Amino acid sequence: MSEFTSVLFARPNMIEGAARILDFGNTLTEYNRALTPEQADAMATAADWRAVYDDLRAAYTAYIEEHPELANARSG
Amino acid sequence: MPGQDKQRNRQTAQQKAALSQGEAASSVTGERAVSVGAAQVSVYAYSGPLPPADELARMAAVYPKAPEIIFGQFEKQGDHRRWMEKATFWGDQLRSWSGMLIGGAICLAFGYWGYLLIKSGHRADGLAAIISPLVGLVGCFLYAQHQQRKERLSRLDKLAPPTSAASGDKRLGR
Repeated sequence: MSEFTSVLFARPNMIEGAARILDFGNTLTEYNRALTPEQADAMATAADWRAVYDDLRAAYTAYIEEHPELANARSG
Repeated sequence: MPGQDKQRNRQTAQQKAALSQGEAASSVTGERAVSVGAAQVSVYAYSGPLPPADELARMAAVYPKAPEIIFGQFEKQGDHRRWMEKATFWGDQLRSWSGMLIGGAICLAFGYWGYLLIKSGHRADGLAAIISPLVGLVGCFLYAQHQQRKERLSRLDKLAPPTSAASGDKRLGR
């Protein structure tokens, strides 16, 4: 799962779970908030495209690893 | 049989250029010559795991089980992706809850041990046994707060264009 799936919040982990014993004010539950709905839309769109970019980059890297001659041709 | 175990990204392009549609004509009206030409370029492309219906029908003509196999693989891929997302989500939740339960159990165990120590006359040792896990929890709390904030804002930073030096805080007006 891409990290841009959860762009609005940090993913929970074990230390965070232990910390919640003392988190009486629920201060660990925090989100990346936008100032306006338009900004929220822009952030969501950017996250989507960034995830697409990561996928394309992963595919490109895998392909170049299979065909290193293409990487040399590009740099040359 | 087409390979369906990885995402298909196939592009079919047909280009037709018809410069001579029989329309090229010229006529001479007095001293003026008029030439008429027509060009047509048609591009057909698709992307995704499922081919268009007409291509699927052509595949079925060659191999009747092809649509069943292709749709079956598409369904399995979707199930697999959803399962992975669910496993990640529930894994995160499980770790979070297990941290709470294990941390709580350790605190309770140390508290009870401290209580027994105090009861048996070792007051300083007992207090140390009670307080030390609480100090650990406070440390955990402060670390988690810092780490979660850092992780959250780092995601915003990654959304920024590479040239932007603005941090997540600045972009959110904080």
